[in-house]
Amino acid sequence: MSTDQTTFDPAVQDQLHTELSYADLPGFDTELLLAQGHRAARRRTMSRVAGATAAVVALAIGGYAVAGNLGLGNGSTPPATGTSTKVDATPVTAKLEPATSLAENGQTIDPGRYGRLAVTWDPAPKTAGSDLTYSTYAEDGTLTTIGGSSTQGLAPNAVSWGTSGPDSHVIVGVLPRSAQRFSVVLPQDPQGGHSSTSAQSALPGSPWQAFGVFFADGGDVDRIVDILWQDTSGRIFDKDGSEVPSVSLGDKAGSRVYLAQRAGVMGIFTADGDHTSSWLDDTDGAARLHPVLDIGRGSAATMDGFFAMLVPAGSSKPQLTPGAKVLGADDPTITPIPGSGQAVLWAHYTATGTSSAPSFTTISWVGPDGTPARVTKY
Amino acid sequence: MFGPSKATRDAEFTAFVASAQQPLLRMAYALTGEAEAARDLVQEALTKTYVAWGRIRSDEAMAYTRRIIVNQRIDTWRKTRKETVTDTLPDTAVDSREGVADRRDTLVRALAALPEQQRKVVVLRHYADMSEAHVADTLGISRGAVKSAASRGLAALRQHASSTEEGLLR
Repeated sequence: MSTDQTTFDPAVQDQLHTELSYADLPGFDTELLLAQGHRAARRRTMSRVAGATAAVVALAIGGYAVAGNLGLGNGSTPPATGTSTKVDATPVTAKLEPATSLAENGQTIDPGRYGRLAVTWDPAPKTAGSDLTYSTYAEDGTLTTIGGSSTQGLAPNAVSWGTSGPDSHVIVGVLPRSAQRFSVVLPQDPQGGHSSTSAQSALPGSPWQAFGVFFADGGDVDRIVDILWQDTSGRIFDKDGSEVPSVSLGDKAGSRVYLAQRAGVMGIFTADGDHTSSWLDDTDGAARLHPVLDIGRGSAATMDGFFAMLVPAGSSKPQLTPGAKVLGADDPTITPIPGSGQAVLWAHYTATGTSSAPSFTTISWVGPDGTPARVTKY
Repeated sequence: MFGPSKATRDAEFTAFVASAQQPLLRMAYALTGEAEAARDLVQEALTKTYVAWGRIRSDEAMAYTRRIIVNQRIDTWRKTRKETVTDTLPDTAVDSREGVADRRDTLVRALAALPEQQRKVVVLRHYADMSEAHVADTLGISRGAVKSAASRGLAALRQHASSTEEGLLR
């Protein structure tokens, strides 16, 4: 008997086929299904403005922020929109080159004209609500418009982006000017996800900066869960402009660990621009009691690793038992993540780089109520 | 980067729906245990398949749609489904059209009582007729995990069978 047959039962197969064949399951009206597909495809091409549900106060603040950066705010009543005041300002354009090519599963994906993107911000647009224009540009700099959007109503720290059309591999949009770096959050992919590359570019004179992302898999554009970004002070925000609980660990790497519950991830930004995240849920949707980040970089012989696990805030006395591949580890530390009810138990370590074994075989601590806790598998 | 024209896409997609909808609906029914939930699940999956049509080959469409069905909505659905699953399965003594329907309901309820991973594996292996390797690829799990889930799932189904007079897996 082959191994493939050990989990196969012809009786079950027969019964499923026979009895499900009688299931009375009405088919679909293909016209309606097509209409639904057309709408879904059209939605992909529409510019997306995050934070559209922001209150009127936020609208005013957004308008004021734009005017203020043009030297028009000066403490006066902010304009309700960015176009109601005569503005002596010319549009500014930021050019982006998120990708020249991208390798995925041994194939090279050519972004074509979408490898060169541009964002133009017009502080005094002729049409209200259309101050952002997204374009591709040719080698000679000629712009070809692919879409547009508006910063009106956008919360001050929110992100706005659009796509380039059906089956798009790119998004292009604006981030707050203070964003140092950003990360696109996609749904958990059992296949391990796809590659992407990105670019950021200043929009001088505006409170925004342009960004673009080229995805190896076009479907990723539709699956974006969130865009998390870190400002120059280290704070982390989501696409709607809400601050995400995070904490600086004060280590040499300048690590900042965050917990983005709404996006369903925990992650780390480091001072040199690295970013890694981990899902809070298992692939089957079950919540992980203690989500873990265990990352490393280095040569095949030795690797500098970083381990972090979420534990309840107020926990103490962390201990780690290194696995066979660990050559040395710092004493673990527990650092609370303000506003999250959680803390991060973390340590840097060095390890042999060729082993895929767990870095630590036992992680233990004492919970806030004094109860010892231990994890032996992650 | 660019797919077929809209007219071509619509024609290909319509043909695909005509041939694939019943197998997909039955698979979703086996996974969800409810006809309406199955219909919602397949409709959503087909819409996503339509949007992706330009970057998938027509001979990949069935596998693509199945993957969407098993990976994207079961979790959400099951949270509500768990409230209606019972361990007591109805007797199936009458071998008539009603009897067939009863046995089908019993089978579907027994499937619904399985843990999600086991249910997915059993349905993909035994209804979608996928190999272990294909199931592993579709669910993004190892072949070992497929074996384990299939073995436990089948055992659980047999246990349910023994709890009914005629039961399942005769």
